[in-house]
Amino acid sequence: MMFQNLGFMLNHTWLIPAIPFFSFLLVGLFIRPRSPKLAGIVATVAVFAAACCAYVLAWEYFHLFPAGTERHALVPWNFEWLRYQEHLAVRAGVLVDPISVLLMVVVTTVSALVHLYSIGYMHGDQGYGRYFTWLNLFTFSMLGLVVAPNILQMYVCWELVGASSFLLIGFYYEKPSAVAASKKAFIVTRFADLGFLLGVIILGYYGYHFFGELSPALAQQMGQYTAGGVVDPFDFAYLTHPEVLSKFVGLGTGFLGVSLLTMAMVLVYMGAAGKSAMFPLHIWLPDAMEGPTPVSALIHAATMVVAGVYLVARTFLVFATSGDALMVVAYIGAFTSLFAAVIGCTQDDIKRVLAFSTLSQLGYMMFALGVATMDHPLGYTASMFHLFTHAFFKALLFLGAGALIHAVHSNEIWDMGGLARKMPITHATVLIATLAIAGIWPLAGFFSKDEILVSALENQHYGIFGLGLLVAGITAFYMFRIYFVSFWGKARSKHAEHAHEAPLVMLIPLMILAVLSVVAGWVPMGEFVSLGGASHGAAEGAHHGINWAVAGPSLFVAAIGISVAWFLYGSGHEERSKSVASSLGGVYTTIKRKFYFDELYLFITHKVVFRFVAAPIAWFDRHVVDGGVNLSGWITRTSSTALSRLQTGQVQTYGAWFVGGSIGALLVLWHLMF
Amino acid sequence: MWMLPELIIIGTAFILLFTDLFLTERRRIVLAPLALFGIAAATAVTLYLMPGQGEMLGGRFAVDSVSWWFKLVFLLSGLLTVAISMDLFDSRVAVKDPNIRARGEFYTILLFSLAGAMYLISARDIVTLYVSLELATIPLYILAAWKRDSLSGEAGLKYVILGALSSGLLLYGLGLMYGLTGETHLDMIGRTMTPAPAFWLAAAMITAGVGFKLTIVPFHMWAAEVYQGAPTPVTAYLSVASKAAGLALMFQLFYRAMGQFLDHWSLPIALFAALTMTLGNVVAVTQQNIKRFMAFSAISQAGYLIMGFLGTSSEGVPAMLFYMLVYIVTNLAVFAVIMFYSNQTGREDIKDYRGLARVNPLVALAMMVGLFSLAGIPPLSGFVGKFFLFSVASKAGFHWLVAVAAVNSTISLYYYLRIVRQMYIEPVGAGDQALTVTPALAITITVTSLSTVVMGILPMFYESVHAQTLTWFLPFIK
Amino acid sequence: MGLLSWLILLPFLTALAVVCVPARRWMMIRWIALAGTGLHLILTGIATFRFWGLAMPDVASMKTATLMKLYLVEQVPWFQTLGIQYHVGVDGISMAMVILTSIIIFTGVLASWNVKERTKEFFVLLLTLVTGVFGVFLSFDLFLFFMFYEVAVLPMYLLIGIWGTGPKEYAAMKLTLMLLVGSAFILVGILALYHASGLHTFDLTRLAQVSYSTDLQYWVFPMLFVGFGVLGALYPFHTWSPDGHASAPTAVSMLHAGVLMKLGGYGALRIAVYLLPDGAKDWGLFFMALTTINILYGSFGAIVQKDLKYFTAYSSVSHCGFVLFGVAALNLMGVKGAVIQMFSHGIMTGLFFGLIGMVYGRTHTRMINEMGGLAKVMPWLAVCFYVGGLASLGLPGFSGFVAESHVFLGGFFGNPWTNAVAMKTLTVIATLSIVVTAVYVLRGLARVFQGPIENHHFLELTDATLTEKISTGVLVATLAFAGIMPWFLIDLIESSIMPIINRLHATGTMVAFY
Repeated sequence: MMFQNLGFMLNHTWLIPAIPFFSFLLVGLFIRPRSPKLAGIVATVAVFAAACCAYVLAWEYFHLFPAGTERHALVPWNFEWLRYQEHLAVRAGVLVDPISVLLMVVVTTVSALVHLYSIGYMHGDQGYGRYFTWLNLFTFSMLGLVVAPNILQMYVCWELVGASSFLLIGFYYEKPSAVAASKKAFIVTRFADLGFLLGVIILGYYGYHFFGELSPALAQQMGQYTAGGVVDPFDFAYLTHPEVLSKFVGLGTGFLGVSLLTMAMVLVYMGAAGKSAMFPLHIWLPDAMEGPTPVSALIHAATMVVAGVYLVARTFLVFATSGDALMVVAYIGAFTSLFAAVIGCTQDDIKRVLAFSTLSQLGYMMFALGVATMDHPLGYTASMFHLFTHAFFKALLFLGAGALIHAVHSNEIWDMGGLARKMPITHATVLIATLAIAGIWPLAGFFSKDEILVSALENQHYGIFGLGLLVAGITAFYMFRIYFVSFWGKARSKHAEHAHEAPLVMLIPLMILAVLSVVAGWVPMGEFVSLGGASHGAAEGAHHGINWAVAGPSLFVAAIGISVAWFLYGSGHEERSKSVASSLGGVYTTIKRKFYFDELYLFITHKVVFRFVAAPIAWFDRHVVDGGVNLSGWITRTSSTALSRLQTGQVQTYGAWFVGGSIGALLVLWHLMF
Repeated sequence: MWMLPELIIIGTAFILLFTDLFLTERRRIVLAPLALFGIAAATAVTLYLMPGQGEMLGGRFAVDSVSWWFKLVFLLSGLLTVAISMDLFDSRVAVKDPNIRARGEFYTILLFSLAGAMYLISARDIVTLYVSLELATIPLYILAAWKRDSLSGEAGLKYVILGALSSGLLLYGLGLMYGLTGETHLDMIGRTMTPAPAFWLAAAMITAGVGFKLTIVPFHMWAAEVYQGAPTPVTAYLSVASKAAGLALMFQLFYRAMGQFLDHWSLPIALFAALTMTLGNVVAVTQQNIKRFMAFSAISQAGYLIMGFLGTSSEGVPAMLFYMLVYIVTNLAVFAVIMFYSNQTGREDIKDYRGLARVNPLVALAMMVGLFSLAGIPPLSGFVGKFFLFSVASKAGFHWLVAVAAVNSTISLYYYLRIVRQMYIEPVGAGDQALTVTPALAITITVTSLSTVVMGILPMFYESVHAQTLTWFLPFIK
Repeated sequence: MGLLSWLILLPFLTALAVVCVPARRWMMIRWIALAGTGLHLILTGIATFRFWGLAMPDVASMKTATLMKLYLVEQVPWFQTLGIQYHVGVDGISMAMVILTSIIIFTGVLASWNVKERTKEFFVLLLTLVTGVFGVFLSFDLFLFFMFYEVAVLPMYLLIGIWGTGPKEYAAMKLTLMLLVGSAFILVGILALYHASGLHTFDLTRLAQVSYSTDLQYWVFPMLFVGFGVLGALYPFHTWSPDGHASAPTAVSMLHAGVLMKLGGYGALRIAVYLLPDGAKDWGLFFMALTTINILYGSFGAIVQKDLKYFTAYSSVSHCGFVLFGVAALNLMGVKGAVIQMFSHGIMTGLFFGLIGMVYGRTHTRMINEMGGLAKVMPWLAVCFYVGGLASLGLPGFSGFVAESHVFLGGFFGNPWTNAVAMKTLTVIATLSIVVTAVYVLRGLARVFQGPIENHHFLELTDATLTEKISTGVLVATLAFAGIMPWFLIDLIESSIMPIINRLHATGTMVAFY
C-alpha cells in the first residue's frame, strides 16, 4: 500500500474540512453570544488556516504524482459513518485527486477572502456573529462535499450547503423578500435533490447487487487507494470502475426504453442542475441575491453553484458510459448559457445581472463537460479550468459590486454612475474582472473560454460551438453595459455623488482577486487536471499553445459586444438604449420579466398544489375521514335513544317481548340443533 | 351440618323479626349490626366448611366446590348490601326520606331472599330448586316496592307480574323435563335426557326463565324500571345477588341437567351474549338517571358473563365464578358511592355528580376505580375477569364474539367516562362543599374499591377459584 | 428486584411521592417530579451501559439468530394457571425506546414547569402514564404488555380533558375511544395466538417458537397491525391525532406524539411481524400502500394548517407513516429505519410540541398567521424550532435523515415476497414527501419567526427561561448526536432486529430459545 510515504497534509487532509467545522461550533456556541467582534476574527482566521492547509496539500499531491504520471484518487482517511447493512455503508472520508485538490484550493481561497471582506462589509450589523457562524458552516459543508469519496457523503454535504445557503440568503429575516427568496432557493434545490436522492438509491441498489458478483481480487484492486482497502457500492472508486460500469451497461433498458444507467444519471444530473441553477431550475439563483453581497460572491458565484458541475465531473466516467445522459448535460448547459445571457442584458439590479452571468458561465462549464468524451476529454479539463478562473473573477465582480452597493446604498445601476473617479481601486479591479469575464487576452477568462470552445469544436459540436461564440459576445455586452452605466457618465443619485472608496479590509480581497483574475489563466491546467492523467496526450497538447482559429473569432465577438455596449451606454447618449428597448417592445419586456418563469412556478405551487391538492386533502381529512369517526359515534347515540324508546314502561309490552323472546329462543334452538 | 350457613341466615332473620317487635324505634339501630353479624357468621362458617363435599336430605341438598363459591358470593353481596343500606334506614342521612320505614322487616326479608339463593345452588332436585328459587325471588318483589312512593310501587308491580310470567315458563320447562325423563333429580335428568322436540321446548322455556333472572336480552325489559324505582340498596342487591342467583340457576340447569348438550349450546349462547352486551351498552349511552344507567350496565355485564359457557373448556366455570366475585365487589363499590351521594344530596342524576372530585377526592377516586373496573381497564380486577372470559370464548373459537365484546367494552368505557368527566373535568358547582362520609359507607367504599384493585393484581383469588372448580363440571358433560 | 423493574416502578413511586404532598405545595411537587425523572434518566443510562456490556458479545451470533435474545431478564409467575407471568427484559429496540421515553418525560416535566392548576393531579397522571409506557417497552409477556398498553393510554383522557384547550372533552373522548378500539383488535389477536400456540403461555419469547398456521396468520396479522396502527396513526385511523394533540397540554402532546405513537410501531414490529412472519408477507404490500398514503397525505395536510399544533400533528402523521412504512418493507434496512425513525421522530416532535407550548405561553395564540417575526424577540426558541424543522425535513446531520434514508433504501431494495416493481414505485412516491415536507416546514416557520413583527405586543415578549433552555437544549443535542454519530443508535438496535428479519426468511424452522 502507498499510505506510508505520504506527506503530513495528505495524511491529515481531514483537517481541511474539520477546521471550519470546529470553528463553526466554537464560534456558534461559545464566542458569538459573548463577543461578535471576536467571532468574526476567529472565523476568518480558521478559514485562512484551512486555505494554507489546502495549498500545502496541493503542493504535496502534485509532487507525489508529478506531471506525466497517472494521478490516482487517494482516500487517505475514512471511517464507517452510516451502516445500512453489510456491504452497504457510507464510509465518510476524504478523497484527494486533482479536481478535489483544485476545488479545495478555490473554495478555501475565495472563502477566506470573503470572510476578510465581510469583516468590513458586515461591520455594525446586528447579526454579525450569526453571519460568521453560518459562513463557517457553509465553508465546512462545501469542503466536505468537495472531498467526498462516496456519492452519499456528497449528497449529505450537498444538503448541508443547501441549508447553509438557505440560512444566509434569509440572513435579513425581517425582510419578506429575503425570506421568500431563501424559501424558494431551498425548496427548488430540494426538489432537484429528490432526483439526486433517487439516482443515488438506484445506483446504490444495482451497485449493491453487482457487489455480490465481484471477485475479491477485483474488490481489493478497487480499494487499493482507499485507506482500509475496502470499497462500498456508494464509493466513487467503485462506481467509476470499468468493471462496474460494464455491468451497469449490461442492465439494459428500464421503462420507456431508457437505459437504467441513463435514468439514474439523468436523475443525478437533476440534482446537479438544481444546485448549478440550470434551466429550468434556475429560478432560485437570481432571487438568492437577497442575501448579503459577500454571500452571493462566495456561495452563489464562486463555490456552491459549481457543486453541480463538480458532481458531473466527479461522476464523469459514469455519465460518459451512459452517453445520452451526457448529451442532456451538454444541451441543457448550452441552452442555459444563452438563455441567461439574454436575460442578463435587460436587468437593472447589478447583482441580478451578475447572477444571470453566473448562470450562463455555469452553462459554459456544463456543456464543456457535456461535449467531452472518453477519448477527447479536453472539455473535462476546460470545464474545470473555467470553474477555476470563473471563481476568481466572478467573486471579484460580486465583491466589487458589494463595494458599490456599500457606497450608494442601492443595487440599481441607474442609481450609480461616475463612480470611476470616486472609487478608483474598486473601479480598476472591477474593470479587470469585467475584461476577464468578457474573455479578453491575456486575462483568465480568455484562456478557459477559449479551451471550452476548442473542445466543443474538436468533438464536432458545431451548434454548441457557435452558440458559445454568440454567448461570449452577449456576455461582453451586458458586462460592459453595467460597467459603463455604473462607472462612467455622471452620478445619477445623491448617494452616488457622495460615494467614497470602501475601507481597506474590503479592498485587500479585491486586489488579491484582481491579481488572481489576471494570472489564473496562465496556469497550465492540463498538467494538473486531465482525465486519467498522462494517458491523454491529446489533452496535453491541445491547450498549450492558444488555438487562434478559435480565439480570434471569440475576441472579435467580444470586441463587438463591448463596442455595442459603449455605443448604447458608454457614449453618454442614454436615449439610444431607450429607443432600442422600445423598438423591441413586447420582446424586451418578456425578457426583462425573465420569460415569466417565476410567475409560472408561482402559479403551479400556489394555485395548483396548494389550492387543488393540499386544501382538498385537509378538507377530506376533516370532513370525510374524521366525519366517519364522528358518524359512528352519532350512530351509537341515535340507536341508543331509539332503543331506549322500547322501554315504554308498559308492562304488557314487556310481557310481549318476554314471550316473543322465548318463542325466538325456541326457534333458534330448533334451527341450530336439528 | 352442611346446611349450617343457610340455617344461620334464617335464624338471624327470625331473630331480627322478633327483636324488632320488642325494640323502640330509637333502639332499632342495633338491627343492622345484628344482621351484619349473622351474615358474617354464616360467611365464616362457609369459609370454614369449603371446599368440603357432602349431601343431606337424601341427596336433595348437596354442597360442592361451586356451590360453596356461590354461597360466598351471595353472602358477600348480602353483607355489603346491608352495610350500604344501614345509613339510609337508620336515617343517618342529610336528606331524610319519609317513605323509608320498617327496617326490621326489611333486613328479615332480605335475609330470606339470601337464604333462598343459597338453597338454590345446593338443590339437587327440580322441586327443591324451584322452591328455593321462589324463596329467593318473592322477597325481592316486596323489597322492590319497599319505598312507599309511586315509582317504587310501580317497580314492585312490574317485577312481580313479569317475575310470575318467567317463573311460570320456567316451571313449565322443568315439568316438561320431568315428563321426558321421569326423574326429578338433576343429575339423573342429565344422564337420561335424550333430544326430543319437547326437550327443545323445555330448553327454550328454561332459557327464558334463566334469562329473566340474568337479564339476558330480550328478557331484560323489567330491569330498567325496577332498578330505577326500587330503593337504592335493593337496586344494588338486585344487580348482584339476583344476577348471581340467575347464574346459579343456569349452572344447575345447563351443566347438571343439560350438560351433555353443552357444545350445542355454544352458538345460541354466543348470540344471546352478543345481543345482550350490545343492547345493554348502546342503551346505557344516553341514560341520565344513574340507577337506570347502572341497570343497563348490569345487563351488558350479564352479556360478558355468559361467554364463560362457550365451548367445553374447563376454564369456563372458574372464569365465570371469578368474574361474578369481581363484579359483585366492583358493582357494590359503585353503588356504595351512589348510596352515599343520594344519602347526602338526595340526587340521582349523572349530571349531579359534577365536580365531586374537587370536594370529595377519595370518594370520586373510588367511584372512578369502580367504573373503570366495570369497563375492564387494567390493572383492575374487572379487566382480569373479562380477560379470562374472553379467553374462554377465544378458545371455543368465537373470535368474532371476542371482537364484539372488546368493542363493546370500548362503548361501555364511553358512558363510564361520562360520569368520570362529570366528577373530574366539569367545574365544581357553586357553593358545593365536602359531603360528610358516614363511617359505615366509608368502610364499605374503602374495602370494596381496595379489593377491586387487589383482586386484579394478586393472583391468589383466581388461583383458588380455579383450583377448586376446574374439574367440577366434567362429570356432567360426559 | 432488578434494574428493569426499577425502571418501570420509579415513575410510579414518584407519582406516589407526589400524592403524599399537599396540593398547595405545587412548587415542591414539580421538583419531586423533576427529581424522579432525572433519577430515571440516570438509571436508564446505567441500564444502557449494562445492556451494552451484555449484548455486544452476542452481535456475531445474532446475525443468524431467528429468536430474539433478551437481557437483564426478570421472570416471576403471576396467574400461573393461565401461564401469565411478570416477564420483563430488554433488547436493543426496547432499550432505544426506553432512552427516548426517559428523555421525553424529563424534558416534558421541565416543559410543564408552570402548570399551576391542579398541579398534583397533573403530575400524578403524567407519571402514571409514563409508567405504563415503560412497562410496554420492557414487558415480554403479552398479558403484561397489553395491561401496560392500556395503562399508558387511559390517563390521557383526564390529562387532555382537564388541562387541555379548545374542544378538549371531545378530543379526549375521541382519542381514548379510538385507541381502545385499536386495543380491542389487539386483544382478539393476542388471545387467538395464545390458544393457537397450545403452549398455554403469554410469553412472547416462547410464543415465537411456534409457527402458526398460514390462515390464522392471514387474519390475525391485519388485526394486530391495524390495532397497533391506530396508535401509530395509520391512515385512515389517524384522526384522533390532530384533535388530540391540538387540545392536549404541552407535556402531554410531547409525551403522546413523542412516545405513545411509537407504541404502535413498536407493537406492530415486535408482535405482529415477529410472531406472524407469513401474515406479514401476505399483507406487507397492502400496508406499504396504506402508509405511503400516510406519508404524503400527512405532509400535504400540514401545508394548509392554520394552527401550529394541527400543523405539527399532521407532520407527525406523515412521519409516523415512515415508521410503519419501514416495518412493512420487511427487510433489515426498512425495519432499522423504522426504529430509528421512532427514536428520531420522538425527540423531534417532542421538541416541536415543547416549543409550541413555550411560544403559546408567550403569544397566547397558536394561529400561524397571527404570529411573525418572533425570531427577533425569542432567538433561542427560533433556533430550536429551525433545528426541529430542518431535522423533520430530513436534513443530514440530524437523526431524521438517517431514518428516512434507511426507510427509502429499505423500500427500494424490497423483499423476496413482495412485488418488486410495486415496492419500488411506492418508495419513489413516498420520496416525494421530502419536497412537500420542506414546503410546509419552511412556510410554517417563516410565517411564525421571520418577516417583520406585525403585532407590536410581541415586542415585549421574552426569550426562553432557563428551564425551557435546558429542556429544548437536551432535545436538540439528542437530535444532533443521533444524526452526526448514527453508529451508536445503529449498533444498539441492529442485532436485535436481525432475528425479526431472519424469522421472515426462515419461517417454519424454529430453534429452541433456552
